[in-house]
Amino acid sequence: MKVTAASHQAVNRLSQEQIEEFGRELDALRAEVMGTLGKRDAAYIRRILGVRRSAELAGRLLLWIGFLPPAWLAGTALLSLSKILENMEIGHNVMHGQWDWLNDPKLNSRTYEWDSVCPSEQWRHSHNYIHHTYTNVMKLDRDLGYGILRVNRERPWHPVFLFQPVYNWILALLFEWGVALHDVEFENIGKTKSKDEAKAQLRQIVRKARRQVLKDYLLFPALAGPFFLYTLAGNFTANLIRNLWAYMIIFCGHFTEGVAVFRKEDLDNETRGQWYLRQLLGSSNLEGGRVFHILTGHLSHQIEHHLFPDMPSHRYSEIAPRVRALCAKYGLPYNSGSLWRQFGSVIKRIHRYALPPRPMSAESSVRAH
Amino acid sequence: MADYAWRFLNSWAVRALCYPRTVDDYLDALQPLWSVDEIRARIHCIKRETADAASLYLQPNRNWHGHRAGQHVELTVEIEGVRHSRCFSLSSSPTDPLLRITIKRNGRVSRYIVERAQAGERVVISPPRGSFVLPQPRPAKLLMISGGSGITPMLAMLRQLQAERYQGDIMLLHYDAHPQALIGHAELLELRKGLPGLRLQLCFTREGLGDSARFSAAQLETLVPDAADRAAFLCGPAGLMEAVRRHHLERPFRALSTEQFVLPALNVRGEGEVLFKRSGVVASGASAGSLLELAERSGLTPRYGCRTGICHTCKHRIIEGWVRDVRSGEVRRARDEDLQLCVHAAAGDVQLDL
Repeated sequence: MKVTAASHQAVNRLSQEQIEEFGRELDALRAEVMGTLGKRDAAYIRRILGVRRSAELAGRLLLWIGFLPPAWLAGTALLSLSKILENMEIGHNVMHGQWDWLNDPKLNSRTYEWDSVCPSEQWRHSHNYIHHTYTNVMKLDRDLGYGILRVNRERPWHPVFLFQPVYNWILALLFEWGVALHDVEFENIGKTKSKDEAKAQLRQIVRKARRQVLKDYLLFPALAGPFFLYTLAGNFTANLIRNLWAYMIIFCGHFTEGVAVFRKEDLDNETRGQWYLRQLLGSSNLEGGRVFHILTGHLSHQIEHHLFPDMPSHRYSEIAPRVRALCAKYGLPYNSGSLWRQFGSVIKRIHRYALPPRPMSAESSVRAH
Repeated sequence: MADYAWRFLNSWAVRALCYPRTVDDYLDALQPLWSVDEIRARIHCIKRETADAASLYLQPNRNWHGHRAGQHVELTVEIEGVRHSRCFSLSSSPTDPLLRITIKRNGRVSRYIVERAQAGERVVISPPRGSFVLPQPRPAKLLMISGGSGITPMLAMLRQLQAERYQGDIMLLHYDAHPQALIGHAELLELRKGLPGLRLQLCFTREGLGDSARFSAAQLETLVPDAADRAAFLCGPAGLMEAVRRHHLERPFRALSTEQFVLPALNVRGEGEVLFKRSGVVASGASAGSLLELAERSGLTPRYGCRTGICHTCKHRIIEGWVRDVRSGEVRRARDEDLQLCVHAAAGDVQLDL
């Protein structure tokens, strides 16, 4: 496991046995939490569902009278809130299987369709399988820079990256569309992916996007009659806010200063302990209050999420101190900071890696195993 | 909910406005019984039948379009926030104003319903299922053989026949442990008033009569000499059903309809037999490290991703069975849930919807 950050020297000092012991302690923590899932957790997610629904209904109603500026602002804010909750705390987590144990057909990971132009089926493949299995492994984890960004030193430089400080923001604004096209894997067409397969995926995206566009940009505005444009603008803005928020939170999960990247060879004979270690070293957390964590879909606990992707998200906050203590016990880094610090470091890296590598790098490589 | 309101809510436009949520997700906020997709019912009242059985009287919403006496439904209740579904016969006839499900306490769901469910609670039911129904035209002579709670579809049929003023001959041969366990005794006596041809023959197997109280060819010969002339209906525990079926092979009834509601007992010896129900393939659970591998070796091609329990791509429905989590070694009985095939192996007999 080749880790490219000075802060990871401690990894070198761990023996293979210690790494496995670390993994067993995490297994025990997972078993402990999963064994106590029940009424309290069910009540939590149903409450979130209720809040989201109320926010959406109130937001849509206010946007009908959107010609009044306060109504437009409040309506747009509530609709943004609803979309953020739906995508992050509900959709993303439901599709991970966090709520399958409730046996509720409306919260089933296999059938849930989220409020995004990205078809859930394609998301489940690119995210649950590819990203969560091959987290931060160069050339395998397609979320590492989303193919178009150079966010780490190891990626070979190309002149096109000179423009990434600009097109990064275009991606941010159009984030849901970028996510929708992600699983088509344009770079692999004709190689690992057939043209027909890609076409079928594109057709599925068009079908999904049509329904999303119809609802937000035609039907709801039409219901507002003469105030069509106010509703349209409100819906557009809500989608935009959701895009920016999701982009910011998600970029802070794996592109911050100090996260490690790995090579394909590191996966050879990877043990459970090493898998946990890779998830830990490749993820970074955000600090904040309860409401902040909920609005990030608990991706602010990216480390806990990557260790236990199918654990109901609100439990991450509860176990975070214990995960952190465990890391301290083994002398492992636990990458955590405020949103502004972490996001600042992401933007810094996007600018730094836009430029070709300097001959003398301040960073050093360490070997974990 | 009025008809026009229902049609409006179920329209293309309203569905499109709610997408990707459903209309029901929003109706829930207004009135928990309203739905355009599901049959939901309110528990009108619960009547205790015996020490360990109770009847649920249900008021369904407008999505219920009636049933035929003898059919069953899948009833879904929420216990501690988790949904559980089980099949139960309806013990009411289509002519009754409310739906009735009579339940004997034996598992988690039935225990909840008998002990803890409250009037006013909302449940979800499936459309009626099953072909265990009275034939048309009605046979002149009927024989109903039931054991324990197997009497419930018989009650529905008898109520139906009573409402039709059926004049034929009905023999109800019922087996139960002891008289206190008998469901619907008073109701049967009441039904006899409206059904002049109804005769009851109750056999109590734990009243010290030994095997003479159990079903046998000799017993049937004594109690129902003309059994071969009768259209027979059978519902009860596996042992009784097996005995009657065997008898039917040797000395057939005029016709035999059966309703099985107890799944055959499952083996729990180390590794068992895995039935892939949809594809009709059976394989030995011991021959592969996980159910996913077993399915692939059996020629099936289930979806999969990480194969290590991370991505949940290979989830499929397990109907029932004993499984071992290969990560923790934990063995448990799973029923009606989505199971990650890559990290579970058979630890006994397993039935998968695959």
